[in-house]
Formats: sequence, structure tokens, C-alpha cells
Amino acid sequence: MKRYFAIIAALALLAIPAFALGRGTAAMPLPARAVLEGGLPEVVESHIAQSFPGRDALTGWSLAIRVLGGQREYNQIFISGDELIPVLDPPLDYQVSENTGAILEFASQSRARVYTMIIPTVSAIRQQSLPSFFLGQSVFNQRQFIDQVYAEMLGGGVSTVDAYSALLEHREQYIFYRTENNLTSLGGFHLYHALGGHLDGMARPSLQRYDIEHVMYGFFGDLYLRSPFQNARGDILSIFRYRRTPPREYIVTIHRGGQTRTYHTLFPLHKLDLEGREMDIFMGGLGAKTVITASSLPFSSNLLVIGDHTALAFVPFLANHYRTVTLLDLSQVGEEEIYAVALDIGRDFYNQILIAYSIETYMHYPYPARILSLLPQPGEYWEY
Amino acid sequence: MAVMTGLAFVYVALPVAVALYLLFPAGARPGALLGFSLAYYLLVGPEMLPYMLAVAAADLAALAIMARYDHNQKTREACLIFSVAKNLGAILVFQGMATRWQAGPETALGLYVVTLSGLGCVLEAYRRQIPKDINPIHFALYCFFFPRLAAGPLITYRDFVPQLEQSGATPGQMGKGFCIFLQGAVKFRLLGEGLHIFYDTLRHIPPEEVSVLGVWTGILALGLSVYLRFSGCADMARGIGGMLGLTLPKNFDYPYQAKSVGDFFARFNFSLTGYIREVLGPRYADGLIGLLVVGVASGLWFGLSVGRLVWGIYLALFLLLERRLYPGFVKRAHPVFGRVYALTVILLSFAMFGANSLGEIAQTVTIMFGFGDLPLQSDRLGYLLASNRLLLIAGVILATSALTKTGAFLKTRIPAGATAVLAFIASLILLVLLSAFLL
Repeated sequence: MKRYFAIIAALALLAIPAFALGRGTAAMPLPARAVLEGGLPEVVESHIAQSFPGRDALTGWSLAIRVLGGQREYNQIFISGDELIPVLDPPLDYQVSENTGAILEFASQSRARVYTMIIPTVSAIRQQSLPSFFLGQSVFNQRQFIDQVYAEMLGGGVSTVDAYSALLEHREQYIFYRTENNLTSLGGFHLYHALGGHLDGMARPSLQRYDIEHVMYGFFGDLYLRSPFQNARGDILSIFRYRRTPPREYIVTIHRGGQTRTYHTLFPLHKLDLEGREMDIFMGGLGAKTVITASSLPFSSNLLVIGDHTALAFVPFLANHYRTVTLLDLSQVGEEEIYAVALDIGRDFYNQILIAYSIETYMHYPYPARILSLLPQPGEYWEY
Repeated sequence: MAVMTGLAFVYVALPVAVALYLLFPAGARPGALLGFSLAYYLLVGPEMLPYMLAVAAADLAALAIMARYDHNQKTREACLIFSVAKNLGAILVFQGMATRWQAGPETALGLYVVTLSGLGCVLEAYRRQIPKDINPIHFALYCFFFPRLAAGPLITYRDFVPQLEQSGATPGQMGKGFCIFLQGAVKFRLLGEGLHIFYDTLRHIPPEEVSVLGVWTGILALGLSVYLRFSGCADMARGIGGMLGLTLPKNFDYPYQAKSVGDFFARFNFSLTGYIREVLGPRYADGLIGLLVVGVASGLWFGLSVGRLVWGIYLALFLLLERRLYPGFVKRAHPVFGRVYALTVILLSFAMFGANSLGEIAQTVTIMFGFGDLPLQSDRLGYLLASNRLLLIAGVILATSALTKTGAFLKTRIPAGATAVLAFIASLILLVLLSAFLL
């Protein structure tokens, strides 16, 4: 018997690397370089892990065993019932200070009205799903953190939008995805309402004015990829279309990685057929620069939104009120997009500028601070 | 130390080593295994390889001089003194370098195994326990045999090298070796590493949430993780050795079931204890110096830090008390009392093991006995205990001989064929489990 086991084990041991190496030869980095840099074991390890046969099932099993053993947190994601809640790290003080300083500097030079909205995460809004000691860390502090940042901004002439209260008020509703780190369309709708009280000339239609279409059931998003907990319930992707006769038409132009794509709808549903790209049904996904142009609108104002992935949830609602809405993701933009938007700011094309970030981005990443690149550089001046 | 459990090791390095072993004729196998071992070291610890090669080359030179001047006792003594001084110096220097590189007390890969193997061989030659003419390839393989680099076990040259001339492993031995390797890998990676992370989490808990039970739990997790990680490594080395036709000794024998501190040392990393006794000889091994050396070396084997030094001295003091002050008491005491006494002393010792300073040790002990004006437990501890309950239970079970005894009992009741089938299925499950957790 030991002999047979030895033979089977040897075959298994040889078959798996052969399979893994054969499956991804093109992606295999040059071993010689890795040897020179001292990282060959890590390169091979990562390659085998990525190409391992039955990888998804095995990862799911290992997580199921961890959960069975009592583990409730994996890869910085808390498992609560059938939903996955990302755990927020404490803020990086220098990053927050840099981001706030940059926004204040930008607002002091901008002739358009500047609004800021910091969006809390699901761990703050659905805090009843987390163990009590978490409340002392990330959850309670999100409210406090946003208030502190807003207090600084109000002194600098920036209008602030209370996204926290708007979401907390509807915390029992399906406003955050269970397996994707983002707001649902309904969550986006509530933010849109919160914005309506601030942005000029905006009426706030009720939910009854929208046709709601559930376009996908059983969607598993980025949180599930990081923590493939088998009891997690798939999400529903829904789109909200403003009811109007004749229907309003939109042209969405996305600039991403040097390429430009155009869609004649806010919701390109054909993206549902592309595995892993389902969230792109919202305005084609987050590009470096996205311009939404609406036809037959009585409005003539233009809005610039500077933000992150959370914008995909509420920008489709805003598109109903502006001639154009430009969404700029400062983590992706290149010089060309920066130059074009800076030029538009300089010639007062935008009537309002909304800076909207998830608290996670605001606390840990330098992207909001890049807004300074939209100001005229030394030696350049905006036209007055 | 995690170098032997990655997917790359299990599914690439290990099959390559076995293939080399099978492809080469018996006479060329030591050379092939040496080449593989050096290549392995080059990949996982390239910074230290030149130094380690220099250390081993110096010992080989000392052995050659001893062989050449076999009748000149002074030259032989000089070679021995040189080897002792050089290897102890190398340990201090390289461990210092490794500590600086890694910013922690981790041991440089293979540091103790290479230096102590070289020194042991010189000592065996000095005592004429081995032939004077040493085969350089055999000597180099003895020092650099890759499964031993992580954590041993130590073995004498006279026990290791004759095996190189024997006929190779049978498929049955290879299968058994692979089973032992898998058990060690699961013990090391799934349980030992998991418990170490648990301990680390408890250690870095915010000060306002530190509690008395939290510190005790951390100490328990550390004790279990040290045992599971190092005995897991030793099992992996034994398993790989078995697959390559080489028998390596066991290194751990359920040390937390010891009936005294002396018994603990006879069960915990005992290839090191045996090595020290071999080096010191029976005359000094049981003396005050010998016991202190055993304690201190056992602590520093895990890395150079104040905590580990104090851990070794603390246990050596109990060893001394048992040997000198109440030698009969321990032997006559009821086994249950002996176990409770030993477990208490050993568990407390881990309050020192993980500390980085004397102040930290004092603070930990103060909290453990309720003098820190801290709560008994906290919400976070409850959450962490719930999250790691399976790890703790499995760790405690594997730290006892319960599973081994159950297995032995089943063997007496179940037909041999069925036992083999069960062992086969269990090993396949372990392989799948290990792969799943490594992804």
C-alpha cells in the first residue's frame, strides 16, 4: 500500500507543477532576473498559487474551515452572517492632513463653488453587525473623523455634505453591497438626495419617479474574491432610470489608459456578459475621465465630480440635472486629462465642483491631494 | 523558517530532489544532493551562503590538518581549539548580522546547523570516533543537507555519513517519509504559524484592552506555537530524509507531558541537548556549567534575545534544583504532581521567551499574577478566543500523545490492510488541506 501511495503521491506532486507551469508560461517572469534579484522562490510560489488546479474551490474550503474554527475575519474582511464587511484601518494622519490642505488650497483659488462629501463605509453604517470592541476603533471614529475634517473645511469656505447621516437614516435598507466594497444604486440614491440640499437648483425626485430594473442576481464582487466565504449571499445589481416621456438620452465618453470609449446610455448592460466586469454596467466603469452629456435638458450648468469608485453609485442620478457631468478619478488621470480639465476650470466651464471620496480613500491614499495639479502651475494664470 | 512549506517547495523543490535521488546512481547521490542543497540555500538564504561555506571550509581544513598530523597531539588540540573558537565566534557574528538584517531575533537560516555540525565533526575526529580521512562531499552534505537547515535536528557525523553508502530508500520508505513530511508541514504551517499569529495579535493588543487572561492566553499560544513550529520542522526534515534514504533522529517527544524540568529537556529539542552532552562529555555535562550551557543554548537556539537567554537560565536553575537540591523528590513524586509542577514551570517560562527586555518580562509576570491593576478579561479577548478556538484545541491535542496513542490502539484492532488504506486517505486529506491553506 505504501508503495502505491508513493507512486500516486509522486504523480500528483509532478502533475501539479507541470499543470501550473504549463497553464501560465506566458505570464512566468524571467527566472534569471528573479534569481539575480533574489526573489525566485517568491516568483515561483506566486505563479503556482495563481495557476493551481481547483484554486477557487480550495481557497473556499480553507476559508470554510477557518470559519468553522471560529474565525470571523479574513484578509481584513469581517464575515457577518451572509455579508462581508471590510475592516477599516486607522487613518494616516499625514495623508489626511495633506488631502485636506490640498482641497482647501484648491477651493481658495477656485471661482466655482466647491463641495466636499466624505462617504462612510459599511462598517460604520451597519455597526450592529460587528463585535462590540470594533465600535471603539473604526466605527465610532468615522463619524468623529468626518466631523473633524468638515470643521476644518467649513473654515476654508468649502461646503460639506453629510453623507453619514443620509446613509445611517436608511441603514436597514440594501444600501451597501454584501460582496462588493461599494454602495448599491439605492445607497447612491440616498447620497444624491443628500447632495440635492446643497447643489444649486436641484429638485429631488422621489423614488417613485424611477423605474428600477434588477439586471443581475447572484453577483459576487471584489470582497468575495478576497474572502470567498461560501455562505456569502450574492448581490443584486439594479439600475434606476428616471421616468420621463420621451426618455432622456445620454452620451457617456470614457477616457481610460489612453483609449476613449463612448456609450449612448448610462447603463451599458452588455457588460454583464463580461465575467468580472459586471460593475461596469454603471457608466461603463470608472475611467480616468468620464463625461456624461445629456440631451434635451432645460439646464445649462456643468458639474465636475472628483472622486473614486463610490461615484459610480450616485453620479447617474446627478446626470439628470446638468448639461454635462465630468467625473475625474485622480488615481488614474494622465497629463492629457489633467490639462483638459484644468483648462475647463480656468475658463469657468464648471459651475460646481464636487469632491466626493470614500473615507477609506481619504484616510489612506494621496489621490484627493492631486487636485492641486488642476490649479494653474507657477507662471500660468487662469483667465479672468 | 517557512521555506520548507511553501507550494514551490512541496510541488517543485521536493519532487526535483527526489528525482535527482532516483536518477543518480548510489555513488553519485551525495554529490547530487549536495548540489541541490547548495542551490536551495542559494535561493532561500543567499546572503549567508558565502559565510557558511567559509565556516565549513575552515572546519574541513582543520580536519585535513588533523588527519595529516595524526600523531601530533598538540596540532590536533590546536585544530580543535581553533574550530571551537571559530564556530562560537561565527555564531555570535552571524547571528548579530542576521538580527540586524531581519530586525528581530530570528535565527539566520542554517546558522546553528552548519556551525555545530562542523564543530561536532572536528570533535568526533579529535576523539577518533570517525575515520581520519574525511570525504569533502560527505562532510559538506552533512553540514548543508537542506531539510536540516531550518531547525535541525542535529545528528553526529558517525550516524549520518555511513547511511550515504547504504542502498537507497524503497518506495514504501519514500511513501512513509512523505506522510511524515506532510504531518510536519501541517503541524508547522497550519497550526504552529496560526498560533504564532494569534500570540502576536494578543501581544500587540492596545494597552487599554490588555487583560490578565489575555496575557495567560498569549503565553499558552506562544508555548504551543514554539513546540508545533519546531517539532513540525523536525518532522518535515525526518520525512524528507526518509524519502532520500537517510534516517534523521526525532527531536521532540511531547515535552509538555514532562514530569520534571529535566524530563522536559529530555523531550524538547533533544538532539541539541544530546549534542551538548556529547561535546562536554559525561564529566561536565551534569555539572553546574553543563546544566547552564544546556539551558542557555536551548534558549539561544531560537534566536539571540534577552528573553530567550533568561528563558534558558530560568529553566537551567530548575534543572539544577532538581539535580542537586531535591533529586529524589522529583522521582518519588506522583506522576500527576510531576506533570502539574513541570507544566506550571514551563508555561511561566514562556512569559520570558517572547520578551525583548528584562522590563518586559517583569511587566508580563506582574500582569499574569494580577498585580497590574488590569481587568480579568476584555471584549477583544473574547472575540479573539472565539476566532482561534479550533487552533487552540488542535494545538493542545497535538501537544499531547493522545492522537499517537489512539493510532497505536487502532492498529491493534483494525486489520493491517485497512490501516494502510486509512493512512493513505488521511495523507491525501493532509495534502489537500496543506495546499488549500498555502494558496
